[in-house]
Amino acid sequence: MAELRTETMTVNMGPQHPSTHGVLRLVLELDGETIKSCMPTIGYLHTGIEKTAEQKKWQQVVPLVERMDYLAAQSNSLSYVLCVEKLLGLEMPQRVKDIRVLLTELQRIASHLVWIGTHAMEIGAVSMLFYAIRERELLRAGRRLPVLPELFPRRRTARGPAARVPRRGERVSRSVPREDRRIRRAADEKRHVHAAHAGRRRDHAR
Amino acid sequence: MDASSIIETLKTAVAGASYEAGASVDFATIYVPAASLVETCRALRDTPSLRFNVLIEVTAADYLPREPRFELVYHLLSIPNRLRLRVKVRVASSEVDGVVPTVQSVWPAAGWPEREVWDMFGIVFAGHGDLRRLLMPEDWEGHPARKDYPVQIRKATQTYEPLEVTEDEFRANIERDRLKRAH
Repeated sequence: MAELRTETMTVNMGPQHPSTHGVLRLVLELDGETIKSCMPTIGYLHTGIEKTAEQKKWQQVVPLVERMDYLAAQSNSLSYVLCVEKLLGLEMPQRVKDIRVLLTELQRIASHLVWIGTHAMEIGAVSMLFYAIRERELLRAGRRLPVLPELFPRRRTARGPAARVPRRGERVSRSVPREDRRIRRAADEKRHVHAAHAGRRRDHAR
Repeated sequence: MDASSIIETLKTAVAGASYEAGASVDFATIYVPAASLVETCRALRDTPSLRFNVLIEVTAADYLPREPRFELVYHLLSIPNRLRLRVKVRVASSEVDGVVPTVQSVWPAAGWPEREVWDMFGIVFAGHGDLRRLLMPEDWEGHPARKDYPVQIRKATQTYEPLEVTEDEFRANIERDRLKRAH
């Protein structure tokens, strides 16, 4: 009877792999399906953000750190801003603290939606991913939270973090205070006047 | 607990070390000389009133024109006593004889963070046993987080010839790596 040759198999689970969820290289030593040992190699996602942040003002670092955890962006900027406030000795009013916590918790929900969607997809329930991402989109647009619309500006094109830079003369939502709305309306009318001069029709009820 | 009371407790536990309290806005900070680092950390971990049993982070800061150049920073947490502490060690650059003992014997979790500090700053940890690149590629030269390292560099793509090893050499390599890991 021939003897069974048993030896472990060394497999490289390379930097890109669907289940590594980001780049991580694992050199696995397998005995059948059991992992006997594992040698991870990290550093593929190292972007030198600490060094970059050293060169910037703190206002410039805030969008930089939001990219660290792209599923819950404002959590990162909250952490950084809390550090800055601690170092500057600033105390925030209670309303700011409340809104920040609210935003962070919504970000947590958004991040968990990605977790549950991808997890379900990987074990076979593929539709869950689309439901979860749909919920995330609605969260980003503010539809799931009718109060505090200033947290969720109306128009946004990027699917990244929620920071939004309004274009000049852009019509903003009704939650903007009255004075600003007058300014905005003046800017819009100027645009209408220009358009009339150019001979084009503009729909007022836009 | 503030820095001076921690220093008082440490002075009774560790003989002959000179500590300083450091300025900080959040929790206590103490400066420890490198020579008494391991003893101090053991006292921090084992003294009942302190019991810092978790090493959270090991980082460093580079204050380039100043000598000694680096400040090695350890963040500690005491779960039983609900305390946080920052331990700082002033270290010179490794080219100027700056060497710090490893605290792996006190907190085994220090292995990889100390590797990262070596990788990024070039601070050598005596007795570490596995001080190699963590985030940068193995054959990188230079320590990126130092202040005299450029923020952006342009590096040409490096291509390697395909590796040609025989099966026996490959198995020998794997075996050697496994023995190296299994200290």
